[in-house]
Amino acid sequence: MGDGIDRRALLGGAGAGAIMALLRDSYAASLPPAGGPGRAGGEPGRPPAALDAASTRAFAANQTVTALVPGRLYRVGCVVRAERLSWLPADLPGGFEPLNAYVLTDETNCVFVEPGMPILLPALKSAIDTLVGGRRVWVNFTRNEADCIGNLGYVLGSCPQPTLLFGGAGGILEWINDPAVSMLEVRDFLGRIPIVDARNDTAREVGALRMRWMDAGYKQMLITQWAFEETTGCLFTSDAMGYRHLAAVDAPPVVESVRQLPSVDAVAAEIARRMNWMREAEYPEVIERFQRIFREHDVRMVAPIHGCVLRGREVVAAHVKLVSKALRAASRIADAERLRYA
Amino acid sequence: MPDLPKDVIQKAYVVRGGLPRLVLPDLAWVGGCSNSAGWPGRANVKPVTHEPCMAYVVLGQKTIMFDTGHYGLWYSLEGQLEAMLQGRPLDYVFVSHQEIPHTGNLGRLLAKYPRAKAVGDVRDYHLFHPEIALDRLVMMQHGDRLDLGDREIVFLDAIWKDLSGTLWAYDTKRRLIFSADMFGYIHLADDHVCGTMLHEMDEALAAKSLERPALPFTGMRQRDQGARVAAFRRLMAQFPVEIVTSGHTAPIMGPRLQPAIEQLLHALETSPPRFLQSDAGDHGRDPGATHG
Ligand SMILES: [Zn+2]
Ligand SMILES: [Zn+2]
Repeated sequence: MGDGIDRRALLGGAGAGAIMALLRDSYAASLPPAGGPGRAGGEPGRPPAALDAASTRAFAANQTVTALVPGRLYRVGCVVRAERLSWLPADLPGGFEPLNAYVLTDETNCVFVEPGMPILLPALKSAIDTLVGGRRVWVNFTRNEADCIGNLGYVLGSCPQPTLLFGGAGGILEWINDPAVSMLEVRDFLGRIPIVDARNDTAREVGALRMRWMDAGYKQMLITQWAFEETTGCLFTSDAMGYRHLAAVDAPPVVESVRQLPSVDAVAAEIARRMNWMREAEYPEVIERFQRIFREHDVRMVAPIHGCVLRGREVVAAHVKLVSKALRAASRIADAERLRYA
Repeated sequence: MPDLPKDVIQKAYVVRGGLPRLVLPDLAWVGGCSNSAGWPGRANVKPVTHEPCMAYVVLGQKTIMFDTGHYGLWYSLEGQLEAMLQGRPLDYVFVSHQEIPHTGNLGRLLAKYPRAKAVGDVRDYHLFHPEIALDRLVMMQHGDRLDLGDREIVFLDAIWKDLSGTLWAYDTKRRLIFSADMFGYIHLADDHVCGTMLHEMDEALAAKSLERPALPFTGMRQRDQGARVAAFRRLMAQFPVEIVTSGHTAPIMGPRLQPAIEQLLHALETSPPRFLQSDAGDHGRDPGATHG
């Protein structure tokens, strides 16, 4: 390797190896698709359960790499049952939730945007296998939480010579999930992984890709960025804007129609569940900024870390309108924890 | 752990802090300090800011750990835990919220202590720790109680949260609250207060230590903090607090406890942090924010 460090050779520590084995082998990576033959405990017609009696592990299906723009943009992810998820109501009966990571490519570059949740690692591994090849690897993420960077360490540790596109989002070393990079654990991570600035309100060409970063339109965690890629018109919105869910485990995780939009109240409740500070708060400047982002960028696709991808200008516009109303409505939702101590 | 050379501290997150400490016969303090100044691109920032990343173990008839520390802490934390548990099993791990500095080591802990269960608002953890069997993630809600034999742990909805679902934990015997991101403080490397409690410091240093609360909460100025401070006072009336612990503080107890609580509540009511936009917050981050 160019920097003289063989990352794989550095994984020798037994403890790290054992933990890595645990990570690799222990979970639902290879569960058969929903309702498919051989699903333990399955009955014909019964939807698969996250808490399947026969399985002690979390359920995840449809670990896939899907081209959103062939040759340019891919969704990498899986589908989980819509339960035990903090951002959804307890009762989305029969519902499923897509969990997403994304990869942008051109001839010579491969940009992982949101390495994603550890449960989608099987899909991410196939993305690494099929998309990286001889391409230069870049990694970018919107915020320092396990749902966005759960697999950051895996990508950094298993791709050749990765470069971090970093937007100033806090201390990195705390966040590296993957014991495979235990050699990065502390001392000189910063020296080994090249870091390229991706601050808010800056732009960068990565080969044919044209990236631009901005403060998130709305957020819970202070340092959350959104990223926009101009050639695809794709806006990566982190933990926001994923308000379309799936009625069936094998339904496509991409929405291309403005029919059956969720209600303003339903979206407001989902916003408030994630952005908990918005309840009982006043934030006209946030709503104005959110709308301005869409006025200033020709957004043709919205790519959140969970929920469906929104594709097409008309679909995006309809959701911007819906979310604007829902942001106003979220302000009127009561702060339950304040009331608990009444 | 010996102090690392200064240039290393400047460059990266390090673990320092003179822990573990058995603070009381039934309370162990574990964890360490991370270097908040060690962000990429900020390698030359001085002075070095320490972000305490703390966890606690209550040694009741059964044992419970409050939060788990971040990944980078594990290599120190594992030995700390062994030293504090002295061969006892870990029965429960309370997970205050899903952030990596608070609960990133959950998978490793449950692998190390095969009979331990995670308790808390355990939604989402199966996505972040798919290696954990689901029946080891036990859901707790506001007001739920866990019996440790000689005391109960009461789970309380956090009045100030970063990630949704944050719970606080209350130990009925010690009257101890573990308040996740509330009551966090950062300090400078040169303060030399790592692993030191407020009541062990001289007056000047204690005062200085309280001047740097870490309040990593968004939108504080966009909502009425007075109503939330009032709710916190009602919580304390219901659950009297004699020891404060959190993911980012040394244990606070003794005569300096009440003034410390009052100082923080006063600051929240009169000058809550401005954090709303990252750009605006970039300057304000060092004094106030932790990993948010
Ligand atoms: Zn914290
Ligand atoms: Zn320190």
